[in-house]
Amino acid sequence: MFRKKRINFGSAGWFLLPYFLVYFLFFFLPAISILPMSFTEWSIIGTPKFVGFANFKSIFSNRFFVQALSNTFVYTILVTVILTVLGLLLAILLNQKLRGRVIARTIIIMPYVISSAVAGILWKWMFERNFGIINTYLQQMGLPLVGWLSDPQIALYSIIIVNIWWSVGFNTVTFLAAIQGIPDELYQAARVDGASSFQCFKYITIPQLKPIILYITVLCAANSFQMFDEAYVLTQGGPLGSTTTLVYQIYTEAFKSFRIGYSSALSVITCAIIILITLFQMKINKGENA
Amino acid sequence: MLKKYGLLVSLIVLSLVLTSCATSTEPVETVDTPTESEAVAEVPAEKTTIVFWNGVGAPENVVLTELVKEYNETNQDNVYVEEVILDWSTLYSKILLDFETGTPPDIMTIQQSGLYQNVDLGVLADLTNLMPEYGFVKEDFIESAWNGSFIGDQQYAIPFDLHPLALYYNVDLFKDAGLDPENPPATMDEFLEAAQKLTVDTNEDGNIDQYGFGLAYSGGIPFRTWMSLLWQHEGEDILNESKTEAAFNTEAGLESLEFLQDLVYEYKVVPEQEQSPDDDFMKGIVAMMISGPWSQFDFNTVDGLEYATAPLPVFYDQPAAWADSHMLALPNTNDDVRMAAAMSFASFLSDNSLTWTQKAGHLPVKLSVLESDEFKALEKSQAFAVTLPDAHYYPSIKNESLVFGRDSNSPFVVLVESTLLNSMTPKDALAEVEIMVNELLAQ
Repeated sequence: MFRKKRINFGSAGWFLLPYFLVYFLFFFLPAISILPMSFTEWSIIGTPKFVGFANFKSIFSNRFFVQALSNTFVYTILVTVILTVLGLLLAILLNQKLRGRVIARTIIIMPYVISSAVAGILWKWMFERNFGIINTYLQQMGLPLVGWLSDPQIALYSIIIVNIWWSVGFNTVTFLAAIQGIPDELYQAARVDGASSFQCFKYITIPQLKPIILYITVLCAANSFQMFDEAYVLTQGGPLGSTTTLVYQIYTEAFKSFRIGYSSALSVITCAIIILITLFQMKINKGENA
Repeated sequence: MLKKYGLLVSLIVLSLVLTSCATSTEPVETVDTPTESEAVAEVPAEKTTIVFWNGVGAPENVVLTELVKEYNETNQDNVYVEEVILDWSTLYSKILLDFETGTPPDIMTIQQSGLYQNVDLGVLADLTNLMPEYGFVKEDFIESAWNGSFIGDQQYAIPFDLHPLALYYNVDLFKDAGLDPENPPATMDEFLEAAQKLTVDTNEDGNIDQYGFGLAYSGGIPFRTWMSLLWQHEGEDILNESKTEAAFNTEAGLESLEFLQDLVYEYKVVPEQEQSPDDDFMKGIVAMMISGPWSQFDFNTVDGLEYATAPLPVFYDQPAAWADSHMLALPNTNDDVRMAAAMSFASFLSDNSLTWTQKAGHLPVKLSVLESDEFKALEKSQAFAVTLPDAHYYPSIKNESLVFGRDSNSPFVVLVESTLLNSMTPKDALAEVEIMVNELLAQ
């Protein structure tokens, strides 16, 4: 028995080894090296110059950082909340024995199949202020034109719409699988006890889905905190920096301005925030479970 | 035991076989670096493979690819060019990484505006002594392009083309508006009159569906247009003479910026918050726009789009237009054989720059090509050629990518976005951007 277990572990280890080797060499090591780099001034060429906390000081006094931080938080919170709630509601809807639900499931997951860059380009055409399809219809209905991507007050919300359209299918399918995994006996027992549909949802579905909800929220929060593709394709961080996120700023500082030390410091801050958010989410979940 | 690891072993063997297959398909052999004394004197017996980074970006990069192919098939220099296609942004970051790790390309495209920064970082080889050896002499080139390849007294690049801004206009829409396409606007009054006549509600539904002029609210062209207008004021420039401080926050700078804002909000001849004038021009939604010669490549693919070009109208005291130049540069490899091969390839590209002009639109910088009948037959290129004496580069500075960047937090992008989205007065925008530029220049 013991021997069999050991062999299983051994072969699994061998299969996992290449991945971990690549992960360690090309992801973990470079990621860790960002920390010492964040205390230097370096433009890729030459020797990094130690500058202490100068990069961090300069980041916190930079108005673009404050704007990027605020954009990132607004984006993360809205995307996480909407994606979780909408994903759950759609999953419940698609779990009903309705006609055409297979087609509906396919339609909902479909956007997720295309790359986010392609999704971005499609929406860029549709969002075009003067001659895009959405505004053309609005205009025909006598409504004013909306600067979906060109109005600094609106652009970030337009990107949120794109992200939700693109990724809600993934959450829906995940929730759907989890819902279908809840034993039917629980519902049957509850119904025998006279529970209403809402009570079944509140006292059976939600508690049973808790681990999945945690998984989805952690994933959504971490992913949306690192949003880049959509802003890159749709708005290039504009207008007036209204869609510049922390990761977008890291990219421009590192690969456009070649300020590696500064962008490393930005990465360290971003990473710290993501860790804090994840810990916070896990703590809430633990607290509720206790 | 053997069975257990059999799969793993066969996977490793398979991957090794595949890897060796991949490396054995090299088209020709790469010659080992000979010693320095051999290098200058001898032509290598076997073919020398050099790596060329084509960074000019789609869609024109295919024209360079064709030229590379032609060179590989026809050259007598015993050189084979391996082409790597990149975009500008990737090229500028990758060159630093590859130079630092000791694997730079042998030759690459570069913009004049990116030259100073790369020279300052020590990436580029000094070509001053090599140039005459390969037939590159000042007398054969347009002066501004030739001078643009120097940083101080050293020459670091081979000028390949020039691309100043000019006015594009839709011939059919001009005719429909009763304007003479043979006499495009040349002054501010003529420009405004044409733009207003070309702004119409064609289907009479109460909404304007054709605009006189296209001007994006963001990106490079709007602020380059503004700079052109500033340079059209006598004695005005973006930076001071020593290039240490901003010099654009003046009456002339303000007047130029207000004019662009007025085109959108006062004269209403530009669609508000316009994203892509190029696309709108191709669809016939805007009748005039300002761009460089590169736009011809796309415009020529549109069936039924009859357009023409004209020099930028003189809005103020004198003609002036922003320009940049594509050049060829050799990273510092200290490998004389490969540098010689790269220079031979550069000579070929330079000698064939007419093909580049004919297919990609960019202006040649060699006088012999500019004066040739073949070039003069290219009707749409003439407006750009006329502009050449009045072409202005960005001021050459170390922090070019920061000061003249096109990102959302780049100073001049902030300037035009604030103004063209009406979120700041031109006066306040100029004052704010002046501070930003001065901070960047001080770094």
